[in-house]
Amino acid sequence: MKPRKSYRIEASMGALPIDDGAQERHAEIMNVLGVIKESIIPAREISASILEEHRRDMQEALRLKVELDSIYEAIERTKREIATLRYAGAQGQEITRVTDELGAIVVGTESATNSILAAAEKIDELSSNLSSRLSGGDQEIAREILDHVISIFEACNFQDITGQRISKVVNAMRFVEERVHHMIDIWGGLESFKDVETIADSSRQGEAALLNGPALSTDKGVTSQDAIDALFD
Amino acid sequence: MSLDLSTPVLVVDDYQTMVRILRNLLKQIGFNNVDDASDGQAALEKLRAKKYGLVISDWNMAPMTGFELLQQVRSDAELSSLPFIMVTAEAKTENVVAAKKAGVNNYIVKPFNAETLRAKISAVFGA
Repeated sequence: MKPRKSYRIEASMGALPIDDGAQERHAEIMNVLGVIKESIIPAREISASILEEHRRDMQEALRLKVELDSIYEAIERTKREIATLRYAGAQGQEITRVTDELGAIVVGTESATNSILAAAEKIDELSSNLSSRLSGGDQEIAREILDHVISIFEACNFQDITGQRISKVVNAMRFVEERVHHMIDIWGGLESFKDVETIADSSRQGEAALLNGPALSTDKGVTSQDAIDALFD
Repeated sequence: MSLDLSTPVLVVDDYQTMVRILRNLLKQIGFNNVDDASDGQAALEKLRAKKYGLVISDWNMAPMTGFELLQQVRSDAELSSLPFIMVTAEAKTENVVAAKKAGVNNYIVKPFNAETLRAKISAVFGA
């Protein structure tokens, strides 16, 4: 070890007491400084780390954007489907028409069934009268007519069952209709759908567009037979 | 109970077409004294105003169903023994069991024929 250098100030202050632990403390301080130096990350490394983190954030943001775009597209498609269901369902008419059509079936079959019953009741009455005036084989024929009249009464049972089945379908349709209305409300009501493009029904083009089936009594633009007759006179 | 064709029968159904069918089939069986009501409440009023020998009722009616009518009839001291046949489209086992527990005398599922109606009425009256 080299002899310790003596400074002038030390000479002017006279001899200092010898500190035996100075060398040891110095070495300790130097060691700590070394550790601190090693633990300090170079600025270049810090920049690279921040950049990597930023790059990852950007990738995540882009991925989120792609997902948001697909969600947006799905929402738009759903709105278009809802608008089509609301405005263009059931062959260009509102979906409510379907329930009206089913209601018309019930009324129509009930009316027809009552006409059949009225005719059967008349046949029943006439056959009974006829039977009382006849005898032998002729009376037997009149009885057979009465048996067939009973078959007509039995067959007319269908109307009640048909009516109940159709009522179930009508209720199911109303349920769907309500759900559509609720979905429209969720998206801000009908006003928010006015600009949504509906899906075109390709089957309703050319002559097919003229086929509307039987009209309901509430339909507009329906021509009466009298008006048609007037057109041809 | 014995089958008396002159006994007044009350048909309860909200479907006038079905009332008409039942009236005609009952007429074929021989019942000529047939009244009708359009729901359980109207039927109950008629049952309390006139003595009937048989009730033939639908189930699904408003405001009072045929099942509620049956319960009312069975809990009424004056009407509790009145023969009661349910004629309905409700064919689930739980319906039949519930009606049986409530005291229905017989149960016919729609659609039905004249022979079924005749057989069930005969069974109720032990004829």
